[in-house]
Amino acid sequence: MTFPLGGVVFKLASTLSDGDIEPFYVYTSVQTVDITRNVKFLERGIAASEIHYIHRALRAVSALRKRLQPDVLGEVIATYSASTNQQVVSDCLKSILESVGQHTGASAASAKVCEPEVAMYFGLLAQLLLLDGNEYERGAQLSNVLVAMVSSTQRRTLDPVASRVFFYYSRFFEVVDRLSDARSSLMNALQTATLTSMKETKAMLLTLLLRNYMHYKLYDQAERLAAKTSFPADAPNNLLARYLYYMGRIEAIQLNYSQAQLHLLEATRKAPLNATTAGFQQTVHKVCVIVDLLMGNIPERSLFRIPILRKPLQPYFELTQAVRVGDLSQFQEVVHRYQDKFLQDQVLVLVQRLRHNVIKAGIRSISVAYSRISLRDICLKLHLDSEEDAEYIVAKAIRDGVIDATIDHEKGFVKSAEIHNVYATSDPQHAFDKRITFCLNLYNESVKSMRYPGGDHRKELAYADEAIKREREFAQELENEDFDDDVDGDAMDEDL
Amino acid sequence: MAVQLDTLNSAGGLLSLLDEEERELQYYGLAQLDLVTDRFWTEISDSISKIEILYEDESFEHRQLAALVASKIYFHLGEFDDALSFALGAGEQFSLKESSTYVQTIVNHAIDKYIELRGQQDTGSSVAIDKRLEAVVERMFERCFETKEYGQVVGISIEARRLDVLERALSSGDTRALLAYVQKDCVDLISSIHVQTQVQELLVKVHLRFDEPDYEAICLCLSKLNSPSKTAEILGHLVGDASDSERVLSAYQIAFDLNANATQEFTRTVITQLESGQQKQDDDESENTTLKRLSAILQGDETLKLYLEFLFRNNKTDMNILNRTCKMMDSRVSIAHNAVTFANAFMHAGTTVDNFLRDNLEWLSRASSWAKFTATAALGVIHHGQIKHGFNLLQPYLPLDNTSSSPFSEGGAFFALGLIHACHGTEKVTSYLQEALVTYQGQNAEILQHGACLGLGAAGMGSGSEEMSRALTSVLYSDSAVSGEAAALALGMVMMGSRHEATIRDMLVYAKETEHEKIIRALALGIGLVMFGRKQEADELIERLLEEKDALLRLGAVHAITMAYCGTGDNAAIRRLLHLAVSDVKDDVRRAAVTGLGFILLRSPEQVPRMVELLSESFNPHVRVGSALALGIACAGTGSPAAVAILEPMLKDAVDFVVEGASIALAFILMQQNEAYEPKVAEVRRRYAEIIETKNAEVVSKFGAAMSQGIIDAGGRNVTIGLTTAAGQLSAPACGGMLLFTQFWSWFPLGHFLALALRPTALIAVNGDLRAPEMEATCSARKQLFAYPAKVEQAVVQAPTKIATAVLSTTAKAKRGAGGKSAAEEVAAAATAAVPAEKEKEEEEGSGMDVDEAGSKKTAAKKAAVDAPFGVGNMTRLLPYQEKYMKWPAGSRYVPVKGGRVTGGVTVVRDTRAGEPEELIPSALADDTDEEEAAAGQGAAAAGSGEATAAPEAFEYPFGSEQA
Repeated sequence: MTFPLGGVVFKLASTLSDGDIEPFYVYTSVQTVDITRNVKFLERGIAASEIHYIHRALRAVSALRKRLQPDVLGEVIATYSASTNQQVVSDCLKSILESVGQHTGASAASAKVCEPEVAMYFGLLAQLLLLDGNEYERGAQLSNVLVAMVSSTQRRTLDPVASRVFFYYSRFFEVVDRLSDARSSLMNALQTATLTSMKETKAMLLTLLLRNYMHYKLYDQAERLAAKTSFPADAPNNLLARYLYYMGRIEAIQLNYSQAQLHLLEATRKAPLNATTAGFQQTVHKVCVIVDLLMGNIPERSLFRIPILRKPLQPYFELTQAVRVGDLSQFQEVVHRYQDKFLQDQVLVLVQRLRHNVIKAGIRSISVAYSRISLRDICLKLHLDSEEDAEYIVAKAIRDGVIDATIDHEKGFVKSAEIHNVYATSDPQHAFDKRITFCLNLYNESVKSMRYPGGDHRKELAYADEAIKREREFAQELENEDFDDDVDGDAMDEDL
Repeated sequence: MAVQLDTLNSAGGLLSLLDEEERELQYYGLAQLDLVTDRFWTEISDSISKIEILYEDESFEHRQLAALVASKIYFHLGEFDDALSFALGAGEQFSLKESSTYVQTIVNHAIDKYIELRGQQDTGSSVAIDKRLEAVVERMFERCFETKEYGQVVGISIEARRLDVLERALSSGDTRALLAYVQKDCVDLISSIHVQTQVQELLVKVHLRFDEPDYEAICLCLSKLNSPSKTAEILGHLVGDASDSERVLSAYQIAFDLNANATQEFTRTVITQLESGQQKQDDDESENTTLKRLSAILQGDETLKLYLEFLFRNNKTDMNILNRTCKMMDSRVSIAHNAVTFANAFMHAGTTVDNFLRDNLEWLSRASSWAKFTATAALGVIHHGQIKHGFNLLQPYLPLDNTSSSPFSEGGAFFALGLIHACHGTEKVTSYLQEALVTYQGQNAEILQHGACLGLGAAGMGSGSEEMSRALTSVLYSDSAVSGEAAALALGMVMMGSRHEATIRDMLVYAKETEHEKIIRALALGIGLVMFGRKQEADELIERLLEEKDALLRLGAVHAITMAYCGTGDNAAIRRLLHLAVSDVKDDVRRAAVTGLGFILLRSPEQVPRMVELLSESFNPHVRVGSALALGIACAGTGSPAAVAILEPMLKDAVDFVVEGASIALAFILMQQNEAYEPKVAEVRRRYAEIIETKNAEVVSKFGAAMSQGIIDAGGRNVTIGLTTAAGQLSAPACGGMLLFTQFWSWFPLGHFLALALRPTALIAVNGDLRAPEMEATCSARKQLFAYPAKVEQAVVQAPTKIATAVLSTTAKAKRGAGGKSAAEEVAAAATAAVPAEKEKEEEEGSGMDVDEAGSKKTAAKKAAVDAPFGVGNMTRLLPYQEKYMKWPAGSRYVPVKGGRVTGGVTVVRDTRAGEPEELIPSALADDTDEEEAAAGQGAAAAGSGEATAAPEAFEYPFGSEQA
């Protein structure tokens, strides 16, 4: 077989060009398939009204996001058309296409009917495209359209998709710093979600609203909202973790430290400790450490050794050391050094409240170490201004129950009471009770959240069948043996 | 101002305005707050008391605005009751025209509240309804009237018991359509019987306003209202002018429908009223015949006659199945004998074909004691409805001269007599049976009494006769376990649905007195039957029984729930049963509770599979079998794939009685289905045969399989389970019969009560002379879907009638000719004569599988031809799921009186070409006329069919003498 030279060159060129095009071609076609596969999950979920199919489609969104191209999305959308009685959906599809810069060609006759959920899913993908392309204004516009559609379509299966759409809606307004504009529509949506019992959306909206209020430091409003609504019990974990974090923040600001600590702790536990959630874990732990200190506890040293936390928590580590020692000057120095950092983390208010705790910690360590100490010595140790100051502070500490001691005003010294044995009291019992309750709740929740696939156990029936057959054979053998034993008896029976 | 509001971060400023002294400022504050409630409700709600104080301040001019704000805040807080009451306080400020979610929610809540309050008023508690609330609802009604949404008005007004509004809606919309809607879809859903009655009365009232009222609908209402005198009046009015044949025919149609749907007691009263009305008028010959016919129809004689004729003509029983089963079952074991008895009885139910018994005399003779009782009673099932010949047929078994020689067969004969006359107990039969209750004394008396009681119960079902109940009570008080049990059951049957106070009291007291468990169990069932269809009226009794320590009395409560709420789909009842099903300590109670679900949901069978899915996998076998039966009862005849999917694995259950229950349930569900429609049928049938043929299978499983074979082919494959009538009404005897059938669990003979639940599925049209003319209706679906399942002997599917008669006549001839021949030879002769092709066919198709293949090949060849619409002849099978494809052909000679759909049951047709000679379908039933008439030489049968189809000779069971 001989080819003219030109032909060979041509062939080579064609293979080359194929090679150039192919990766791109494969790349896009895979995506179309990806999207349609997820859409199929959605449609299955709608048909069976089973939320978990829809969740499955949504789980793939983050993977899609990285490789998404506007033309692919346009291509997929073009294969769908809204059914005639749903004007909202067709409008929505149109604005999605417009926003990603695709033509709104006349939909083919063979177009599949587009359910509102599917349209919303496309909207979500478009939102991601715009967000990643830094086209915030257009994103905000599209989000407005999508949100309007959610409020006009009330379907339970829309819930998971809608909740994500709301998230990015709020996100767009946040990046353009117009969060307050979104507030009233979020409020309205919350009302609708509550009335139609769209649980996931409600949970999402609550966290978004809390974030919205806190962005403007409207802690009062946030607290009121939280007090007057109830967070849905079966909301997804990530939303719950976020909600708990916001609650912890609000409560910390409002001096309700024990509640704040509880919520923050739970928030850290609800979120898994891995690379994906590192940011969240860091943020929560920062507040958590300070609240811990405000409560008079010293966080575990090991916390600051966790790889993902070590670096960001360095200032907090030094702060903790200062509080632990009760050294006021060291404390001041740390605060001064990291002031900007604390301001950025929005915890400076809380940090400034720590000064009292430093003093208290000092007093406590003194009271443990000395059974009797003069006020003057205290004054020196804590770098206080005067003996009188020291007297007042100690008196306050006694009244707050930080230390158990008496002040001898005449002679100017503090006398500590005998340290009693904690283990003789019911304190350990309470502590254990608290932990046990926590474990039990955790167990119950995990049992509740387990899913049992329907009909799976039927496979076992085949085995059961065999077992029955074996049993029957066994019984038959036994019977035959019996028969051998007393043939006469049986024969007699038959005669009767 | 608006711009300012948008940028507001807190409503604190506006709220502080409320504390001002100036009214003007307060008003301004409120007005602004009203605009921002959506955003600041969390904040405003802290100061809600201030706003409330403003509202309560009578001197404040804008207190209504305060109420509106307060209402909105409460709405946001989710306190809809408070929100509603403040919205009512807001008066005009609360605008219904607004389409916000707030207004919608409040209005919905107002309607709910109103309905609830009206409901409370109805039950007697004196609650005052806020005038303003009523006004809101009224405004809603007005709006619906404006937009012509009458359906909504009808729904709300019925629920709110506002009959005046209902009447207005009925008369302002498309009245006939709305009336039909209310009657068909609404009335049965009303939970309170009291309101149901009122609505029915209203319906009658509205109906009568028309010039040409729909008398059929009216009579249906009247039968539910239990007002026979008015019904008689209407019927009398219709037949008053004998020359107007149209009206007479519609009277016939009404009478047929009443017979199908109304109680025995009701139709009887109508007849007496009609006759007394007649006597006053002068005697007119033609009118007399009309009236006679009318009362015959009402009595049910005509329907029974037509059904008998239909069942006999179209009998498609596959004797091979039965013979095979009979061979495989060890007849010396009583349970196995019973099984074959049932299989035979159900297969031939109502067909009058008792060849199997004649051919297997030897098998029959092996029955002993109670098996003999059951076997004799089976005659009642086979001849069910043959009320003219009841006595003659059973003559050989009934005791002679009031002396008992063989109590079991005689007791069974009493029972059979009752079954033949089930629900049509003539004076003669009931008095005969009542006499039997007292005549016999001695050691065997209780067996005879047992049979007589059951017979009396079946014959007098739902008659509410005081006389019968007195007789039964005295038997009950004799405190014998055997007869007492039957008496208690019969008492329940006779008083079925009456909720007779004294009867219930007596039954309850006696249930606590007696020591016989059998009697208590029967009383529990009886109490349930007495409460049939009484819904809430039974609640008090149910509560009381549920408290009882005795499990059998709790069982009574379960039966009472089952029967009282039968077919209602009532949520409270379902909840109760589900609770009992998983919480009661007694297996019997749990089983009955789960089974009860089937009865309650029998109108919405699609719900049942999901509901019992988990229960069907319970660790407790009793719950499993209960769920199987529930599925069977609710989905009977539907072929529901979901139900079959649950039941199929249960056929392989490790516990024998679960297999039994699942077999029976599958038989119910797959009744009359063929392979073209539901491919599972063949497999299930094969499975039955397999169970019966497995050597070491438990005998209870075998019993279930054999019985199921009978049920799936019941009535010569021409009947279905009809717990509702063809018109969709709940049929009391059928439901009672089905409940009694489920008790075969504890007492085999009760299995025969299934006969009451069987409903022939026939297209029957009769003319003015009540004769069936040759005519057809067209069916637009594929013929194959509705064909009879293939059977081994049957070579030609198309000419069923001929075969049936041929077999019978030859048998009869052969019998007469060679009386001495053995049974086996006779069968052979008959078979060869009828279907010569059978043998070679059997040879070439060794197994059942091959038959199927051959069948499908044949259908494939024929398919092209049968896709066109085909005709369904008069007096042939019309399957329930076939009805939706049926149409009356246009321009045919006979036109149905009642227009519209083709339905099962008897249809009266008008002859458009009166005077021309009619082609009538000859009666195939040889013994169509009474013996006396035949003697007089005017046998209609002889005239109708020239073939020599004489009555089969009487035969006697060769029971040996017995010592009970």
